[in-house]
Amino acid sequence: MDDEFKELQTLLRLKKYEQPPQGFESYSERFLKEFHRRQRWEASRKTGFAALWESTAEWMENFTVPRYAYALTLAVFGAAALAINGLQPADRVETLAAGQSFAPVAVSAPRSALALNRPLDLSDLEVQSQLNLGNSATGGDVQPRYILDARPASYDASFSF
Amino acid sequence: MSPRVLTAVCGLLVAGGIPLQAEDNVLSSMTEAVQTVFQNARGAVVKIRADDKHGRCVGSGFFIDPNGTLYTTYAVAGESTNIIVESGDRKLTATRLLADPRSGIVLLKVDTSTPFLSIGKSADLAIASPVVTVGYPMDLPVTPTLGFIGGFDLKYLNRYFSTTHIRANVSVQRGESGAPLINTKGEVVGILISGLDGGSACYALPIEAAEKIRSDYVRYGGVRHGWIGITVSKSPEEHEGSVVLIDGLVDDTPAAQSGIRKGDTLLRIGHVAVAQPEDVLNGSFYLTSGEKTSVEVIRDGQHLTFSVSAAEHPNSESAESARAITQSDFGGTFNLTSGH
Repeated sequence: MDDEFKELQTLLRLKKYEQPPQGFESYSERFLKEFHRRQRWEASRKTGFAALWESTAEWMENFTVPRYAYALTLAVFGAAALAINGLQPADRVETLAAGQSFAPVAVSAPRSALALNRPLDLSDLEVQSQLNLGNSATGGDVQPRYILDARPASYDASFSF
Repeated sequence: MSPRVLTAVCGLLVAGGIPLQAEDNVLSSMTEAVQTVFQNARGAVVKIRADDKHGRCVGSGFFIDPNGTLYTTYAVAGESTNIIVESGDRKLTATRLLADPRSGIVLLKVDTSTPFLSIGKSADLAIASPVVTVGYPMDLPVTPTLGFIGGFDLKYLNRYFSTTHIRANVSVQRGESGAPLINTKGEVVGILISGLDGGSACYALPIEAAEKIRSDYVRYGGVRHGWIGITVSKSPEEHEGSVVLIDGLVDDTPAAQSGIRKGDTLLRIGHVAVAQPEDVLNGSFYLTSGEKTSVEVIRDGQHLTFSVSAAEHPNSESAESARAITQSDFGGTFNLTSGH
């Protein structure tokens, strides 16, 4: 043991007078400069979002959350979803009851609708056409209705001779 | 290359070029004809604005005399008010002289002197005759459209018109209701009444039908649709090209008092030849109440002509009493009166 210790002391004494080779200082300085340059280059390549994500991920690695916190968050989200679904139908009923404009559409529709329980009549198409024209005319206050009938006015001829 | 070969090659080149040259000539002459028709007609064609129960409506029309009389359609001005005629930069208030839903036309009048279109003969038209419409599509300026006569129809989709209509393969757009249908001489031969199949073609009332209505107005102050009181059906036998059998005479009508009998085969009403039961529609359209018309029949192989004084049409006052009849009604024994 003492021999080993003495050998170690001898080596340390030798190292005390050891000098770095010629040019070693300039090499280490260049190395340091090169390291910093590359660090700046990589930082400049990253987008703002990537940099933010990296720093957040780094922070998260050091951040430890208890398991019960995850369960609590999930429970809160579930309760919020249930509450939203429960309130939605009540709001819709209220809107329909208050909105008077829905009712006339439902009432007037059968007049021009193409009923499936009877043969198609050309007059159905005519009424539909007129309604469309009417809508386009009333769509704007100044927009007139440009006339071209889909059939002659005399289409239903009288058969009295 | 020998002179013979060179000559042959030159001959072939010239012969090949002749059809192209002829095609160019046809196109240029057609273009020139349409431009001439348009330039002569555009001053007499007007835009018509009016108010009806649906709001403001816009159509076309045209002057037919220098005193400001013009035709348009019932859809444009038949039941509307505040009728304004726009002719160039002028806006004139129009008066409705008469409106006839049976023909689908309206006669208007503005108090000014006007250019006008001369009246032609639609009877001179044939299938594939070129025709031009000049009207106001949408809010665009006066526009010509070239097309061809496609046919002369008394019915469409199994329902009947009041008289034969001209079917023209002319592309039309909204706003052109009431525009004139013009022949290559620049004469009006029809009034654009309706579009067909989305506007790719159109129906026009023959100008003779419109002139019948105007003639009634000029002479009597209103439309006087006539009626003689016959009922017809399709006969199984053909007599001189007609299968129209007179199968009844309504009591106390001009026909009953004229000497026409049940069982006669009808050949002609006025100037309209009758071959099929539908043709009676056409003949009866031109009847004027209070005026005599000739009715030609065959009885026991003999031609007989009767002069019948038409009475007022029972549907003149109430269009609701008219009813539509489908083609299946002409099954052979159908009574063509509507029970008046």
